[in-house]
Amino acid sequence: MTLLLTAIFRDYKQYWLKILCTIIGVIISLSLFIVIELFSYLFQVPSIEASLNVPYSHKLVHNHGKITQHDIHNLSQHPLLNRYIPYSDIYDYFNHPDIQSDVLVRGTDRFQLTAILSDTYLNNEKTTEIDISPFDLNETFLISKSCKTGSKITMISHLIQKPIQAICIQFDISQPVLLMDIALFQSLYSTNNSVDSMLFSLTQSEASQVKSILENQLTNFSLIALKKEQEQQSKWVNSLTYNLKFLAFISLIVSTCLMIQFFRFLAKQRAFMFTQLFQLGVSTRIIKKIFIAEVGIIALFSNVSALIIAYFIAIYSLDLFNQIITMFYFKLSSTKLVMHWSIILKSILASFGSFVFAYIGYFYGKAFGHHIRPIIKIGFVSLFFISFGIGTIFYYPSRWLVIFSAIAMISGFFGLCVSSISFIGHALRRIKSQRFVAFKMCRDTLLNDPLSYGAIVFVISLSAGLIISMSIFVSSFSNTVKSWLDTVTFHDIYIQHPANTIQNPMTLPSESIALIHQLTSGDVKISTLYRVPFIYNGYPTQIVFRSNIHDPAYSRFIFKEILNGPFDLYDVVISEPFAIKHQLQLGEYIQLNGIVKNKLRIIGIAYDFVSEFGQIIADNNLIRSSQSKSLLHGVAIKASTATVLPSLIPELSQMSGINFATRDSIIDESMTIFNDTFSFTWFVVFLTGCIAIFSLINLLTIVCINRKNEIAQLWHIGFNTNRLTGIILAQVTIIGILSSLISIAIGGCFYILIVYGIQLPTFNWSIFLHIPWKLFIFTPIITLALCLIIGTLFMKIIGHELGKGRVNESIRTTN
Amino acid sequence: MNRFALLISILLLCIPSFAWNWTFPKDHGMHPTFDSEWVYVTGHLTDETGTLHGFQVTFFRHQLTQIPDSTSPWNSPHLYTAHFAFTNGDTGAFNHYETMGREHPSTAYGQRNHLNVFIKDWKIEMNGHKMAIDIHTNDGHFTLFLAPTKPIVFHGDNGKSYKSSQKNYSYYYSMPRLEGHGTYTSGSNTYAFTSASAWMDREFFNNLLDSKQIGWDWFSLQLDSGEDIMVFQVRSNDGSIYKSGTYIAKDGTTQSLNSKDIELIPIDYWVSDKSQHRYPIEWQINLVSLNKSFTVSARFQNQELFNSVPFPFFYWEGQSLVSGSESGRAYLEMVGY
Repeated sequence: MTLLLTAIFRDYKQYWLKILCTIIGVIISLSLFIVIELFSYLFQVPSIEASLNVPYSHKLVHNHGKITQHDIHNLSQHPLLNRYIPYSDIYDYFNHPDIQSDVLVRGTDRFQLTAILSDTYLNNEKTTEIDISPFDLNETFLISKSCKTGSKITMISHLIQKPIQAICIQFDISQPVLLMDIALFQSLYSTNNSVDSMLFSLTQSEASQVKSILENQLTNFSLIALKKEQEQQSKWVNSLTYNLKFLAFISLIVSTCLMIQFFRFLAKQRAFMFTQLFQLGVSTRIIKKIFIAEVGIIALFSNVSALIIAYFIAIYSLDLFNQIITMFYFKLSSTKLVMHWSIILKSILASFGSFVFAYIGYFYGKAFGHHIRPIIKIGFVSLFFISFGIGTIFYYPSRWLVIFSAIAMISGFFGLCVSSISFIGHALRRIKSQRFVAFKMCRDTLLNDPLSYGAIVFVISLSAGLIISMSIFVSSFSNTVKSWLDTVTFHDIYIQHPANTIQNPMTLPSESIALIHQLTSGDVKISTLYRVPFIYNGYPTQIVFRSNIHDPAYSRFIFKEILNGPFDLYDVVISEPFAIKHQLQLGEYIQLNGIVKNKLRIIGIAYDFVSEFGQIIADNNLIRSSQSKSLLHGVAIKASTATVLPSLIPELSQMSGINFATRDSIIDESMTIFNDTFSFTWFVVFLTGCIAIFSLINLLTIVCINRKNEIAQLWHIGFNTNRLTGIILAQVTIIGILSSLISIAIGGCFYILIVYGIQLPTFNWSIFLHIPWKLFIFTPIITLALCLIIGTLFMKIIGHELGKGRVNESIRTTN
Repeated sequence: MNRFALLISILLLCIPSFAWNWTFPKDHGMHPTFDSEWVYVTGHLTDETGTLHGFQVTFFRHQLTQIPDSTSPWNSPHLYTAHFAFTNGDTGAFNHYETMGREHPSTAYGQRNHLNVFIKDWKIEMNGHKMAIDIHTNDGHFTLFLAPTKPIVFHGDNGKSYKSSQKNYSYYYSMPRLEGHGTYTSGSNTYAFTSASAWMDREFFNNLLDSKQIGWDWFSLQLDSGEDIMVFQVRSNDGSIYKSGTYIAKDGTTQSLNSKDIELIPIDYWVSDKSQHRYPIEWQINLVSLNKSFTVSARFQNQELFNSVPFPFFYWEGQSLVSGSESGRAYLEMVGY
């Protein structure tokens, strides 16, 4: 057995380029898959915060806002619900030499808090470093990596413009957290003594009982498992994970296809040797064992190499990945890669699946492709799979069905590639013209191994299809956002606090607003922008207050649907993501508990790309009538004449404590950020393109090896290298054209998958189709051109050597 | 007002710090003007099979430093916490629980004019002379009905019990022999107690210990002879010890014991796996003036409690037995190890 295996591997010298290309292709695609999987697991590793030894497991929230004292009183009547911990949080910006950043301020039970702090952040020695007054409700704790445990610091809160003294606890945490008693939190930040949620420590059976109580009696409340909440905290994370998983999936498919054709190639190469061995008395069982051992060694080598390479790539690019994600998505400071067992399992399964496919194909499907009827059947089944995949995404875009749709589509396209190769092989028989004899000569090669050629076509078209789909998607998304931004950015200048972000709203100091009023004359109209973040049906959202949204000036909202006026104060506009996420229709009423007392009528649904959780847009007067203390998050200035702005902008530049941006710069910066967001995707697409090129070289070597005898004979009867190149290029042209055509179909289907299967269910954003025609047309042409250029170069450099093999009779006297 | 009148008025104001005018049932209730207080009931329970069990129920009230000008409903003036521990004499298992609540009529409250304290579904109350304890835990329900068989005992100087040399003290009285019955359901087990013999301590104070004092050892002994003894020592980090106690005769008459009268000698130790604290679980007690000498030994070694509210801490409090020249049952509390 060892001797036979040694002989087999010695045989590899004959087609080293083919093996090299295949192995590199497999290793790249597998490594890509592993790297992407490793990165996607970074979002699933519990954060430091999540590793807190918190004494609660569930969170009870009001479906329409906050939990009032009246609610708490009613809920406490239930024995299961009276052991709760009140909880609220808010982002604040603190000024202190050590802490000049957004701080998550958490209000909870002071007495539970001490236990958590002691349990999680402090070991026994450190506890003595902290001078805790256990019965002081005014005490606060700042958990930060930049201050020394036990030290006391006084920070100025931006939000409430008051000093807050805190005891520091040094802990390696990405964002500082200020912990305080709920009483202090309500005194400082809450206007109506409501809380965001009630925390409970419940067993599974208790949680089920509570859910039953909520469903039957307290329908305004929901119980959320904290573990689940942490997993689903941001759809950004989910979306990014989906995108990465999608690319990982494609990489795995590419790798699988390369392995399929390679294993089939090996099987074919071994055919002669196996026949001889059989004739020499070696049993079929031993022959199969030899083949399995050979394939196993190759698979093991590819997998282990890919794992090692991927791990090193991931380690060295972790910082870069953190920076990219932090820059474009959210703060990520992962330091630990987790080689999850499922990653290794998936790559092993890919190898195993490829082998099974090739093994069955070789030993039991030698006649596959020789008869036209089964090919037509496979073609129709493949088309059915593709149609089923597209139809499912359009009509039932749920998470699991999207995965099935993707699998159905990819299987369909694979089948289509294989059946097309076979079908073309049959069709070539009809060529009568001498001019196209080179094409006709491809017939037998294609018919003999439609599976391997189909796999190569599939890999090339998949890579090109990915480029097409991402181009259409990015172009459509970019155009949609650009036109939306052009329309909704109505004011000339927007002013906000430097630390204000969508996630962490930060108020603008009243002194700054007064100063802005002083700077501006009567030629400008100043609008105030208020935002109140809250939880609606378990999802974070915000209500944005605009100065009279019924003003014609605001008709620049792009409405998906709108009712006819007249409208009153309690009529609001909701964004499309909010409408989709909460399944709300025009004319329906919503109640924002703890924020606005009256029910609000939905009069319009507007397109919005600000937040995937959506938002509510209401009249400024609504907040003034219902909130004693409102938080102003921005000021917008609209100049009546263009001459005002040049003088105003320098004056605003001199002001400290504000951040301002003009309409044009907002649009430009937004679009830059938007485009940069997809840089990682493009990088992966580039790598997929590299795989396609390797696949192309791979294809050429297969073609040359498969047609070695034919080329040798032709060379010996007098064909020169150019004519031999022509024969090979004829086959490459067939494959190139087929790949290009299929890549267009794959590109279109992937676009549908990305937009309707991933983006829409995740962000609830409508994206309007915009085809980048140049790229759409040039990608298939470039694919074909690349096929021909690489084919020509290949034949000139390496391929012609193949024609110099020995034949019994040769008319050539010289080389 | 002349200087003499001012001096008199200041002295009058100071009187409450020198003596406490005990009034019952009012003084069974809460004393919100003091920083802290507790209602401490420990005792021995005999079930239908004759097995002896032990229990501890303690309700604490702590005054909170409130947030000025806050309308928050959580800005309570007081915090109530409670501990419940049960020593199963049959299995040797020791289970303990805790709860807490801020003062609010619907969450946690202690009546000011009689003993009635509750935290959610934990409650201790006294109607006339009858006391009822009702505790609901995650896995059980404990009820006990008790009545005193001896008069109230005031420790120290008419209830003013010093913990250090003159500066630190609490107001402290006990009901040393409360007899009664009760039940405890824990999981699938139900124990019916045909007899119960409990000891209730009430203490309220502002500054219980001085800055050097680190913990105490406290003993409540119910001797088979019908006599009862309470002794304690407060330990300081400089090695000095302050001791005090009260002897209660069978007829209820009392005799104060001072440092010279009391010898407390640790004999055997137990180290907790959880806290790594080393507790003396067997003591030689010599009461010189009473000519009594006996040993107090923990019935089970592991009777350590861990509590997280208001701050995490361990202490040992458990059922013990008296042997030597006297026999009887005891409860031993050791804090600050």
